Amino acid sequence: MIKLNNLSRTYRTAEVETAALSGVNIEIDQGEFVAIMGPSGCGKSTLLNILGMLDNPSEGQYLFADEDISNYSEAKLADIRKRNIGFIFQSFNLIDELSVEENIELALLYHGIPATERKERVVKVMDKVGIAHRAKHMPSQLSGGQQQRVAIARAVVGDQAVILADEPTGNLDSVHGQEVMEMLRALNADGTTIIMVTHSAAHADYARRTINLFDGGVVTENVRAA
Amino acid sequence: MFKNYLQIAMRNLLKHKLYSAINIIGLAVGLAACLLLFMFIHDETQFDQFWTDADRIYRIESVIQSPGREAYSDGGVSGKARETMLNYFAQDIESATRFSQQWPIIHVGDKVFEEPIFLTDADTADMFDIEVLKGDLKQTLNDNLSIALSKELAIKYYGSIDVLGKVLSIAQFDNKYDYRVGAVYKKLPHNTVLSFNALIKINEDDFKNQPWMFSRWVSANTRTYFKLKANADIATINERLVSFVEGNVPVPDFWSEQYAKATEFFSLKTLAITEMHLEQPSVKSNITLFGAIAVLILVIACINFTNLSIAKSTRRAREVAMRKVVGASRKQLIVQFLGETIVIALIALCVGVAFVELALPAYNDFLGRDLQIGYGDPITIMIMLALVFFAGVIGGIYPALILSSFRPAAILSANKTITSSAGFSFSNLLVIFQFIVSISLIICAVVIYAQRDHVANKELGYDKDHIVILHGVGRETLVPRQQTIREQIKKLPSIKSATYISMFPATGANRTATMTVAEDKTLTKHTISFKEIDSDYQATFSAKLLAGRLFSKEVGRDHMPTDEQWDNEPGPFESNIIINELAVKQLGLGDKPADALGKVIELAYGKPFHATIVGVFSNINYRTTREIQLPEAYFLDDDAAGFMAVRFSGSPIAAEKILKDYWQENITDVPFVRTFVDQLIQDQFMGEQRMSFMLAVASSLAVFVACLGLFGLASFTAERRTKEIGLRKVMGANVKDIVKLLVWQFSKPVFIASIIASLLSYVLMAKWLEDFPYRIDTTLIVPICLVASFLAILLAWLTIGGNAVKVARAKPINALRSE
Repeated sequence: MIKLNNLSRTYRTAEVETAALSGVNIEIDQGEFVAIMGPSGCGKSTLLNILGMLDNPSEGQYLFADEDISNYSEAKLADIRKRNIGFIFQSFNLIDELSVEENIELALLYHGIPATERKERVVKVMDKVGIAHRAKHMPSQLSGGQQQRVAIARAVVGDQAVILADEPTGNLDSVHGQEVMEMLRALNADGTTIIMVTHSAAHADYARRTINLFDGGVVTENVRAA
Repeated sequence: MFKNYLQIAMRNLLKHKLYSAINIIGLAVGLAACLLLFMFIHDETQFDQFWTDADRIYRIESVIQSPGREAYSDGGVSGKARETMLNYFAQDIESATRFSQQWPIIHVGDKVFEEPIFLTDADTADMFDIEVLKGDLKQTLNDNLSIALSKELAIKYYGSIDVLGKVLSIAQFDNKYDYRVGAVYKKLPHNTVLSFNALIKINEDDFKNQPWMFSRWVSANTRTYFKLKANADIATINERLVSFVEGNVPVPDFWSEQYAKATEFFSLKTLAITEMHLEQPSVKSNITLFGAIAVLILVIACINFTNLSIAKSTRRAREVAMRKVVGASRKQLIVQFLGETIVIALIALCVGVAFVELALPAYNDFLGRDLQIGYGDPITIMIMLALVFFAGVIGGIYPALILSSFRPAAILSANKTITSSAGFSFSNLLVIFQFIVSISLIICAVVIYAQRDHVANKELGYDKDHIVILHGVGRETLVPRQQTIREQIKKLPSIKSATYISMFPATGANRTATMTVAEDKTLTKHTISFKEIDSDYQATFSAKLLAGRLFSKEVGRDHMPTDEQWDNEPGPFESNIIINELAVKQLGLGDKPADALGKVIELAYGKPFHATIVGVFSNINYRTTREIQLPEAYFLDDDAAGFMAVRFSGSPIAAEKILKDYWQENITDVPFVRTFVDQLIQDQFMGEQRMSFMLAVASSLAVFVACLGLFGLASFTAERRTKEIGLRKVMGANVKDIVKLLVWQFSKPVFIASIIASLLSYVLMAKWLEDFPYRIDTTLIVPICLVASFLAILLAWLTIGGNAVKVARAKPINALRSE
């Protein structure tokens, strides 16, 4: 489903040039649960941004569903992204001025879906993640775990094929972190492809495959036995 | 989707109440100023539109060039024009009417008034929709002995408008008639060039002894209006005006030497009644000035909007990033943010309209009008919506472009904050622009005030604070007693001198003649002003005699020819004259005043006239300080004129009482009416005073709005620098250090603005001052610039300082913990 061929990403300023990623080759099949690990500054977030079509590579190729999107414009990337990819972030990134159900609905707002259908899907996904009882609450009224459940709901409400999670348990205690990982596992069991950046080896074990990055390149890939 | 946009817009507004208030109030002030000024400009452009046949009513005006003078028109035309035009343009003109303003004595019972009334034709009732409250206007204007009164005049004379049939007596020239009140009408609205508080039918037979009233083409004493027929075109009339003049206007005898045919000195032009008000230069300049001020204040308010939105953009970064992540395009985000600014602008409009309603009574008082917001007027609604759109789009487009440009990847990583350095550089530029405008307005307001003050109080060469003009002394009933009246007034306590004058001082009135110096072989022609004075002129106007002697009644040659002599004798005429210093120079008579004595001047005034110089006066600025002082010649004419100038000592109130007591005791058939010369001069500068006041208000509003924006921006910036301030305090900075840091950030743009504003304003005001013959020294603009700049900087410091101290005093640990 996702193929990166010799992909590099370099950041240039007037004074310095930084190679965040260098010659990365990765293939991810549909329905896989992949964890990406590595020390700080190894390029994990950069890789996730490119996988999530939030950034373009400097060199190399990115094939998504056999389509080379390496040099697509922001508008085209946005279109593919909204149809196919959901995001979960470490710091949740909920909009403070919107309620729980409004935050989740936001993910459907730009899809041209009629209001009644949007409402139905939001209710369904709130039930799924167990946050329906806080539908009208604002993010500031929720705990960290609850906020991340809202973020997960937002990521899946559009039935996206791929979920990208950037350290989804980083701001949570172990109990809530565990809850989030169980939800991701359940989503993957339903067929959603999950690509997760994590520092936690324990959480990486939820994934079938772990890709280790170091200094912008893939150093090892570990496949967990089924 | 728009519901989502609206929801988040409203919630953002409520969440950040202080900044929302600053944004809304700043924009509301700008919109209110715009609305008020627009209402004035709209009113100015609507003059005379309300007449039913406004599109068919025109005024005919003559342009006349007297020998040796510039061509001149004041909107008037001869009283002969009406009848002649009705005949000549019979195919095109349906009706025509004249208005001739007179100042007769009016006797109402045992009371005496001097009142401006208008002589007019019966067609006035058909051409203009005058609302009649009592009686029949048309019938009144068809009757030689009926009068129509305005409601105000009816109440002034009789205390009521139930006055039909009442009789009042009017004396003008050598006529005195009783008029019966035949109609009472409602006062005309302010937005018309017409104004009359009483109307009487023109009866030309009454003015046989005053041929200038309705008999001479070169006496443009009436305002004549005509109405086109329904299918006629004004172009047809305009094309035939030259042939009309050729066929109907003769050359007067007294110009027969200078002109062979009328078209050499006489032309006619038409002007639509709906355009007359706008044709006045002062109206055009007011509209331009007011319009420019409105736009400037609105731009300043929009700049606040833009700056605060840019500053707030850091708070919206995450939302923008998330919207992009879930699929929003840049265009959709721009629409969202522009929509938000338009919503804010709409709220600001509602607040602005409330401000307008509060300000209207004082505004109407200042303008002397009755302006109202036309809530049902489509043009007003359109303008309001256009203002909202303009403010929303202009104020919101740049922040929308900045916000929508944020890249999600740069924002959504943990603990990343976003700043847009381009955005903040632009903000600084906008602050500089705001303060350039504000400081410039302050400088211009002060310079205009200083110039007005300088010109209004300029030394005229006579004691303007102790001269009062008495009206009515030239009335027919007083003519036989004029010498006695003058001698009696001169003997009254506190009265120093009294002289008869034919023209008011401190007005633009001026008569000129072409003169040559007899011994000048080149026969160079000079245009010299002249006036007739009596033997008390010098004492009243404190003219210093620099050489020669004053006029003497005993010296026959000192007297100028009488009207009878002039009309009946062929000449040559001879008399003595006195001239002023400027005339000595203008005529090239020598270096010293004494050099002019004995020289003979030839006047070109239709008949040969030789005048010998017997004295030289100091220069007196008898006209206004708007015009350059002129070379002048004086002739002795002890036959009285229309007014008396009286010089007094002590308080004006006491002098007025003395004169009024004398008058009421000795003169019962002419009312006591007086004008103080210093008040006359002050009134003439009302226009400049008004402009100065407007600029002062505009500059205050501009500074207020700019400071409001500065406060918001500074507060935001301080908030954004919370962590930095916390760290600085941990490193050892004290409150003073932090305050200096924050205040200096925003002082820089104001300093830069003050330099630019001072330079621009100096150039602009120096250029403006060039048009005045008497003006303040342009170097005075420099200290004005310095003071205005200092004031702006002080205000900026006061605006920012309070919040800076509060932020500087906060505990550093709170700042660091928040990160």
